Amino acid sequence: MITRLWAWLTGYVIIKLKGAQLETLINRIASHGFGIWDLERVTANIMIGRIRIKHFKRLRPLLSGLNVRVGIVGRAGLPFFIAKVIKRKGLLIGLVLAAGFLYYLTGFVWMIEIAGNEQISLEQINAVLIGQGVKVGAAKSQIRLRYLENLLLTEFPELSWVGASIKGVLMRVEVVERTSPNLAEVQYGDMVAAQNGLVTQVVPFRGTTLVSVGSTVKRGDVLISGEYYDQYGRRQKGSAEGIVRARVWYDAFGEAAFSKITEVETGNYHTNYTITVGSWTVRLGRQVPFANHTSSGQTWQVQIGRLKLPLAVTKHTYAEVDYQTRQISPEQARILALERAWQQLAAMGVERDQVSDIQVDEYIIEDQDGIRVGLIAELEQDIAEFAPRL
Amino acid sequence: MERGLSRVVKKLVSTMDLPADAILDLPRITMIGNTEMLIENHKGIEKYTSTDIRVRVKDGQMCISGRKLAIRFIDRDDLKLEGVITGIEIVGQ
Repeated sequence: MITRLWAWLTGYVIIKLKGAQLETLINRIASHGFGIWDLERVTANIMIGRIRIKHFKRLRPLLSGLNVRVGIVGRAGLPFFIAKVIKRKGLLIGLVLAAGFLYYLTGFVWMIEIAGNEQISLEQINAVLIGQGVKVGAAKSQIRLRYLENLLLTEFPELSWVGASIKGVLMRVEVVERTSPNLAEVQYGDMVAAQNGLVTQVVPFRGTTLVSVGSTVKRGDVLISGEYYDQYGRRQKGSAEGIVRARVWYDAFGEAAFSKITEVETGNYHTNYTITVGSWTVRLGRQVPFANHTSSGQTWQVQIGRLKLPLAVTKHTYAEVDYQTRQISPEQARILALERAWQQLAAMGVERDQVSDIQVDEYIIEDQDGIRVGLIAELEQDIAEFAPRL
Repeated sequence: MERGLSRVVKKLVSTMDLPADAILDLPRITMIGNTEMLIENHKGIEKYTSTDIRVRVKDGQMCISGRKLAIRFIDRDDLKLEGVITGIEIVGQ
């Protein structure tokens, strides 16, 4: 491999050996230390092989006494390549110019990447960069990275760090924004009851506990106060934190009637048409002869291509219906009413599987012919919510 | 006399575990599958066709038969063959 590479670098020729005692010549060449490679026997008296230029020049003495002729059929390697290139000056000049132009182009920024911004928009940062002449196509030598970093930091106080770098034709501006401190931590306030309830568990994290297990609390009562005394006995005002679980009750009600009015089609149908031209409408066919009916329609809009003309035909189909009253058993009505009550609870945010106990009261509504179900659900939940003190 | 010296050298090589190819000028033959063969310490080629190559080695000849045989490289010491080698024969003098 190395020999081949070296041969290519120093140049080699492809030779044709013609004659009777080719093996003898090969042995002579080899024994002089000249290497031949890719030696092929073409015919009985012709061989083709490759030999380094240096060795080829010293081949003549070896031919003496042999009836062999040696000719060059090809040249290869770097020296020949260079000679060829030098002959083709236009190509060489083009290559050099292309390389030079490429190098020239690498002196500019062709891509700008801005990363890390969340609150500050890309446009804002870009505007500052453009103000300094930093844009796609700007010369790298004109860009002062450290100055830009400082400028961005002063321009946007929200930034805590800016890093600008140029790698090849890519300019990267990385920014880190200040993370705003959590409001709850700096606020002063209490944990208050979000619900009426009976306290079952108090887990204070910060603040002074004002209720104990078994206390009955009303909505808005302070459970954990934000005022507390620290380990040195100093009074502190902070944000109370903690969990206060309590047994709470939600009530809801649902109603259901003992009868239901349903529409039943009688099987009589009637059809008529209307033609609409602009805002003017005319009916074709008789009026609907039914007292109670449902209707459906189908409209054909006349259009040419995609242009709608102000002309439409509508087919109306009317179905005669009877209203029938269907009785619902008191048991079914009760289930329906209870389900409606549960739905009301769900709307208040009560999940059914969290409920530990329920109480159901039923009332018959005499005049409206139905049932009303009152549902009281008992469950345990965290009722503490943060209320800031101003 | 020379025969006697040669025998002594051979004995010395085998008892002292010396590399025989270097001291006795014997060929060292390396084959990679049946497609490549490297003969070191050859003494020239006797015959070269695409089916039959004869290589002179010390005290004899090596006959390599096969298909599409070609000399990839040859110089004073090394001879590298390529092709499909189907037979190797060593003929002593």
